[in-house]
Amino acid sequence: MKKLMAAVLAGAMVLSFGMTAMAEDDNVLVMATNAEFPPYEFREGDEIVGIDAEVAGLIADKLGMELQIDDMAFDSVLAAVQSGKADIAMAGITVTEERKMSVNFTDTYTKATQMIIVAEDSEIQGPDDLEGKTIGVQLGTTGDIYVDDVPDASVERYNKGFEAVQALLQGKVDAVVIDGEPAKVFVSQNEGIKLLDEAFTEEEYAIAIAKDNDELLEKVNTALNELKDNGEFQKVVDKYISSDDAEEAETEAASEAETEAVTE
Amino acid sequence: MFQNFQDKFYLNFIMDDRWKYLVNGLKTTLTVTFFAVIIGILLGFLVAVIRSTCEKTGKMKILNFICKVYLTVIRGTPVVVQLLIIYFVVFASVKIDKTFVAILAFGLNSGAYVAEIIRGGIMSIDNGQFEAGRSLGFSYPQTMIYIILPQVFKNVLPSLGNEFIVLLKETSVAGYIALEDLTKGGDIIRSRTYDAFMPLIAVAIIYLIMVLAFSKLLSILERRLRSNER
Amino acid sequence: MNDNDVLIKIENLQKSFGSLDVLCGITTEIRKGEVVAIIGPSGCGKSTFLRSLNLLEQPTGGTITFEGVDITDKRVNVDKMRQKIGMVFQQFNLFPHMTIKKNIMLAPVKLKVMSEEEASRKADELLYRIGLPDKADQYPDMLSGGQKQRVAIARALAMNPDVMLFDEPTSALDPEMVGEVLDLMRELAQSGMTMIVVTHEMGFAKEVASRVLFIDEGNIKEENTPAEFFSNPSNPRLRDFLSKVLV
Repeated sequence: MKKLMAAVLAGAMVLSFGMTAMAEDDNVLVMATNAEFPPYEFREGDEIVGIDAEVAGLIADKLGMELQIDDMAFDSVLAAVQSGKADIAMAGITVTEERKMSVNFTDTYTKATQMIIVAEDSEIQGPDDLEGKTIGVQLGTTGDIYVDDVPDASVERYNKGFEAVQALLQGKVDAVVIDGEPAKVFVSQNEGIKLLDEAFTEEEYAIAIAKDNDELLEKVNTALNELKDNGEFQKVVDKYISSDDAEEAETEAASEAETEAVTE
Repeated sequence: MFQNFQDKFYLNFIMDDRWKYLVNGLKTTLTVTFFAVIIGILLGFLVAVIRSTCEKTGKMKILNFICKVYLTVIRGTPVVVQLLIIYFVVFASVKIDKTFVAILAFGLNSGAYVAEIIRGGIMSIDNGQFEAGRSLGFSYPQTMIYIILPQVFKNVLPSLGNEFIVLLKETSVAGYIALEDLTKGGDIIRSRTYDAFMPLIAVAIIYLIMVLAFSKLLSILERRLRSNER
Repeated sequence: MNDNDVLIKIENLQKSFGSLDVLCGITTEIRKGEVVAIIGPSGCGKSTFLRSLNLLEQPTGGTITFEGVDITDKRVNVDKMRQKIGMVFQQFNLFPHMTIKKNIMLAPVKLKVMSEEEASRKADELLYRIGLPDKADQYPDMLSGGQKQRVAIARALAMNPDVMLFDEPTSALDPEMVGEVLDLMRELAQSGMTMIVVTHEMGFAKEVASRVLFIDEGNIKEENTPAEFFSNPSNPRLRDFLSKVLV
């Protein structure tokens, strides 16, 4: 067993070394990711699955290459691309100016927003007004993580998204920060609360590729856009995130949030 | 293996000062339990005295009826439902301190169980003790306070201690109203690290230590009270 | 007989539990310094009669006048009245969570009849009188039955009562302990205490009592000085009863 592991490790090292050396003619597309981020990438048994993983597979198909996924810590993902150990990085990576300095990004493929719900007569106009307020969130969601950074705000972490909204309706919290889609449903179903136009956070995920690899960037972009146009991309998304039926809104909000979790 | 453990420990407790969730949660759990116990004892004694007075003398029928309704409702419904009702129904449309809500809910809940424990204790005291007290010139309340309740307290101490251990553990549902108690603290860490083992085991160990310490304290108190007698 | 000497006046006293009539109109008087022994078959109502005198049983009819006050009147402060009536039970009923001395001191101190020091002195005095000064700091469970009953008597005496009620004080004792309790009661009688004693101890009734009552079927069937009572019983049921108890 140990020997086998060692062999695999050695193989992987040789492989990745080889990749750097002869990236041109090698027929393997190496994707760096951190498989702890459902539904984008996570482990199911021995396999790494998720939206990113499947889309990457489709892109590889289009490029006529074979996909190989390397699982690593999130903070190593971009470094892997930079150093050429991986060709692309797909890990629910949010496009930021900071990151653009070290890698190139393809066109974005997903938009994730955290919206703010407040009472209709609330004085809160936008994210900046949340300072010092009581904010309701659902435990473990992106909103929960992000409101930690709001100065002086006290955060109330409810187990369910609708309970946070209920607390808002009863005046127990000043605002609720929650995923965009369920937020729309909550507001449409309850009187006296509204969605602020300005999102709390807006993020776009894109694929990271090494600065000097413009050729691959172009190819991936082309493939990505083809997938978006022919609906294959949406199919993958639908497979992992069920659609937002109004009736299912509450359970939906809960389960989605549970799986969606942290934006890294 | 050990390296892995160290990494996980770092991730779950050290990184981003996550241990603070547990420490603050523990403070909340202890605060809620402490005050709920006090409310529970006061309320329990009151209800028990009313109930047993009615049973022994036939007086206070209306109060007794109210107490009976209280006992039936509280003992017939889960504490988490009571907690949610107090938070979302009783205090609907009020911005209210959640720690207070939890203390109130758990205090009311505990009071019902304490009441039945103490009532059982009062009823188990020989009627001769009441008569001896009354024959000396003590009023009914005086007899209760000076003669009956001290004996009851000693007799029911083990059951009371058990009730408070149950209460301490039951406060773990306080997270339902977004109160950050010890259990919720562990949940928050879990939601950040996606690791179930470390936060849950840590929370379990903290509860266990508290329960063991409390049990120890109780047995010392019990022994001290018993040694008075023989 | 001077009317001022009457301590308790009982008129037409009735008590029923539901449809069961236990006391059917008892009328009698207890005078100061008297030692009244009450005898009768079990279930005759003698204990109920005694317990009615300090309202441990609420009479259903008739009046009890204690030191000139009708205590069956609802407006009377029963607790104040009971402070003047000491009671000793068959089962002692000592407070098990307190030391012997605390048992004796509790009522005088808490009812503010005496200060802590006065009560303490009184308790020491009583403990000496009942012959148990060394038991002051022990708990009731450590005492024998006879010792417990002596403490119970001391506890009642601590309130300086005007009358002492004894409800079969020796019935729960082992035979060898009966004597010590009766000795104490005899000494108490000699000191002039008014006593009403429900008892099965015919010897005690004969020797110590100033008057003996025979209660049967809820009424006083015979009442006399001990000498007459035992040598010349007129009531046939009393004769029958005496023939059974005086073997």
